[in-house]
Amino acid sequence: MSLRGSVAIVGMGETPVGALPDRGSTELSAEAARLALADAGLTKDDIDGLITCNPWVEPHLYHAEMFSEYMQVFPRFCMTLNAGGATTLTAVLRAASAIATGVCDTVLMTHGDNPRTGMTGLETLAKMTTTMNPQFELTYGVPLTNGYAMAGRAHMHEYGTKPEHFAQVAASARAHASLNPAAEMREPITVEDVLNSRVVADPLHALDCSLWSDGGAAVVIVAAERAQDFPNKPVYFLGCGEAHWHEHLFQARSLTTTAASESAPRAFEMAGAGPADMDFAQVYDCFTPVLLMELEDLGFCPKGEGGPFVENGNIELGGTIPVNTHGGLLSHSHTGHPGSMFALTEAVTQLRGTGDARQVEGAEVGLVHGQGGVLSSHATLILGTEAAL
Amino acid sequence: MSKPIPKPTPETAPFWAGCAEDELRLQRCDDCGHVQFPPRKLCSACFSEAVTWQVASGRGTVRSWSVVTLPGAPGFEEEVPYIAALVRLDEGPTMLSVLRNCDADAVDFDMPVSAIFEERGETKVPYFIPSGE
Repeated sequence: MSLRGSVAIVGMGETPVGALPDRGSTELSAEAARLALADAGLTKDDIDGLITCNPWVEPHLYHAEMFSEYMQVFPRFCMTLNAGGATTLTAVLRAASAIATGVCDTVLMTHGDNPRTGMTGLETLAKMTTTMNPQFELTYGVPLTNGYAMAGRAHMHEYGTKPEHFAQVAASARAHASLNPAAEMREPITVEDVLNSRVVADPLHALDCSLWSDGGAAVVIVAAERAQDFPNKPVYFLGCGEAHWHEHLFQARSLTTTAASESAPRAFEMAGAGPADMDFAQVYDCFTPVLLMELEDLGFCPKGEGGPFVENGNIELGGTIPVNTHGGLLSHSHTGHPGSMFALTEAVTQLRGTGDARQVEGAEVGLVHGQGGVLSSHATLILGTEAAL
Repeated sequence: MSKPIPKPTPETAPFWAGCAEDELRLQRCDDCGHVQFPPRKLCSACFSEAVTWQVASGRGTVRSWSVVTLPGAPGFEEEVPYIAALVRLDEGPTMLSVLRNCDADAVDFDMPVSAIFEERGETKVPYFIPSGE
């Protein structure tokens, strides 16, 4: 049995992003859920499957159960997922599996968090340390930014990648964000702006790093046979693949090749498609070198050529592959674990054809990729319109 | 706030006991020869239980590095800036550590380094210095 074409996304909702001091993480999840259900023309009582992720603010050991109680929905499929930035995509695979096997019919995935205004700097630092190996990483007080920086530096050494290439990733993200009224940072920036920004963890500058935001987003997923019964154009699940290689960077097989090199072929095989068939890609960009490595590992360019590949507007609208048309984690928002949700809802927006100024003309098939930990968990999702089935 | 003090578990205790004696100890599998870090009950290559502790060379090479200016945990505020590095030990495994006695501009890929041990609470923590220092 293949999951290809088995389910579709029929509703989506996005809260505002940025600094939202008036809302907690549970409220953001609820707000996104309400928007997604309204978009699908459903009520909360139609939900029989619920997938949440544990937020940093207001976490709960049994989060999905807590949230179903909060919403007063009574699902028969209920789970809290946590694969960091890959959570959203792993959630879609589990939702599709549950629906295709008849475990439930209508899955609500909602993820919200407010780490920007809901935590002090010290609380954020303390939370970050919980992902470190307590004996062999925490002992040295090295933040994850320096972990990503070491991976970026290794890529420079191995392939001749330059800081200018990393900076171009940030400038391209901002170019897309400037077209998106919902994005947090919309003022265009240049490669020079990035290189002139403060060095945070050499070779990474401040503008090589993603934002830190409050916000939430949700989608509603149903069986493909029901997909035409909803008010908006359905977006079909074509393929998904995961690969999990390590949790802590010092245990990574490679500093420059990620598990996306396995998750993507798995997703493409299920979808019966390849990188060249993609009309756009929404790819995890917590730090600029990560996006560059993922573009290589996803197959958009040969290994090691990510640097030159991102030049000359090649990953912008009108380029070979428009990447992060909403602005990505670098310029739209980074809400922590829910971060990839906005990549998913942007893919839905593009495939509905409602992207306005940032719409990829004639978009029929697109890719969404998430990464969690420090280059740890990778999940790739391929979505398409009815024409792509 | 003081720096975090590593809290040994039963399977890591021999590692930290080694550090306290200025020795870097690693586990080696008697069945397949795989050397592993961090310590585990089983060989992570062949799943054998026949893993035994050996004193390692304490030597390695730099895989990558980055200068920490904003500490990632409480207790390091006084220490920044310092050089975080991934060190590939000559026996195979990679450790995250910090380079001492070294200028950031002088660090290079594959630079040979050697372990030193600094006191931290009741135990000692491995750091690395350029070999030959």
